[in-house]
Amino acid sequence: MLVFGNNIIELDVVDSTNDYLINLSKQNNIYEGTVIFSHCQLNGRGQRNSEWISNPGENLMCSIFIKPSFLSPSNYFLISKIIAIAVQKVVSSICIDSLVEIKWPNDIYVNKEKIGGILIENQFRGVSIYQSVIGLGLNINQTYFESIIATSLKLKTEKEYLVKDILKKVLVEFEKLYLALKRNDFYKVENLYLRSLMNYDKRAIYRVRSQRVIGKIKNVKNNGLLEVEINNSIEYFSFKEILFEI
Amino acid sequence: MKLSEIQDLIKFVARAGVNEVEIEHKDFKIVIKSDYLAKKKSNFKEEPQIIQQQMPMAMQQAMPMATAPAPVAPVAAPVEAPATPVAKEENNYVTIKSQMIGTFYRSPSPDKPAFVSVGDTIKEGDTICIVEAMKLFNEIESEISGKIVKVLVDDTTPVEFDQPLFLVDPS
Repeated sequence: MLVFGNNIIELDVVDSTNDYLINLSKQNNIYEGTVIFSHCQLNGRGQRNSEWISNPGENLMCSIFIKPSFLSPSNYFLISKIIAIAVQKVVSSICIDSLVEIKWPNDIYVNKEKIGGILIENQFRGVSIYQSVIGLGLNINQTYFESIIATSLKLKTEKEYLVKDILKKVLVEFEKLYLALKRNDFYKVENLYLRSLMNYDKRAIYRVRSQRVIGKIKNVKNNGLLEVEINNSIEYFSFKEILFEI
Repeated sequence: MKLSEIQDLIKFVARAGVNEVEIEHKDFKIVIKSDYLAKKKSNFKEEPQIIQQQMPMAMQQAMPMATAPAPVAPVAAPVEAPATPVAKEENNYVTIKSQMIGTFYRSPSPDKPAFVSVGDTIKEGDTICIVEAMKLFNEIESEISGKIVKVLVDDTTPVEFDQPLFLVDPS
């Protein structure tokens, strides 16, 4: 039986919680559900080349360790779906008057402003993932963001939160969804993801091959491809092949 | 049919959600089957993975222009001659292939050195590259020990499912 969060390693400062956890997993045999949680991250990473900027102590920065070898390669995006759903659920339970959405592939937005990001690093051997490190950054008590459009729980609710409490809530939701995947209950995860997905089944403007187009998101496949209806035909997009206009 | 054309075709079939595509031209035949539709009901969504190529492998190299009309010298006769040097090389060496569609990275981040270079000795479990797919960063570890003979893909370029990435001398 998994218990996420029974083994939380709390650090005052770290370069990157993902790097720390990956190195730890190479040196020791660590359990699924192990979590690294740091008050300050010096070299937090977002997408390759982009940094995740966070003031010390104000935000949630953590990494979760799982061994999802039961998933086939074409379904790996389900990991991305479950962490996004878990975070969306926790944020929307706090920001009850706001619209909390998942922006494909896995960013979290509150009223069209970014509040959280996810970076997943899988270790692959042969044809399957034998371990996966899920990095999560979620803005909690930070109220000033330099030159980026972002928000936090405090900005939305005018209250302070204990970062560790938010982490525990996310882990509770994450564990439920992870167990659903282990039971092969993909249907539940697919539905929950679409239900919170920004622009799902709505006409919206996108940028595709540097053209502005009107499209309607119909689905996100379990390999991550975005299915969009454009001019009555279906097209599939990889990350960065289509841009949202928010 | 060129390798890149076959890859494009597989990608097209995967994205279209078509169940089966069969193309036959002279003595070249390719069948791409997808279990996507068959498994849809049981919530399994898989990309096509089965490629049946009913043609001797050597033919593939002998027939670079499968779609063009056959020249006077019949291309049809399967080349029974020994495989080309490349194929021979590949018999001795082991090819490490990509398990997914994505972007190939040779280093952990742009400012860091490559995981492996030609001539490097690797052992089982060593990280050799990253393939990024949909914001999932997949660190690929070697299943074999040996020496890197060739890096077959350029840094930060797209790779297809089953595309060869490295040539390794396991001896």
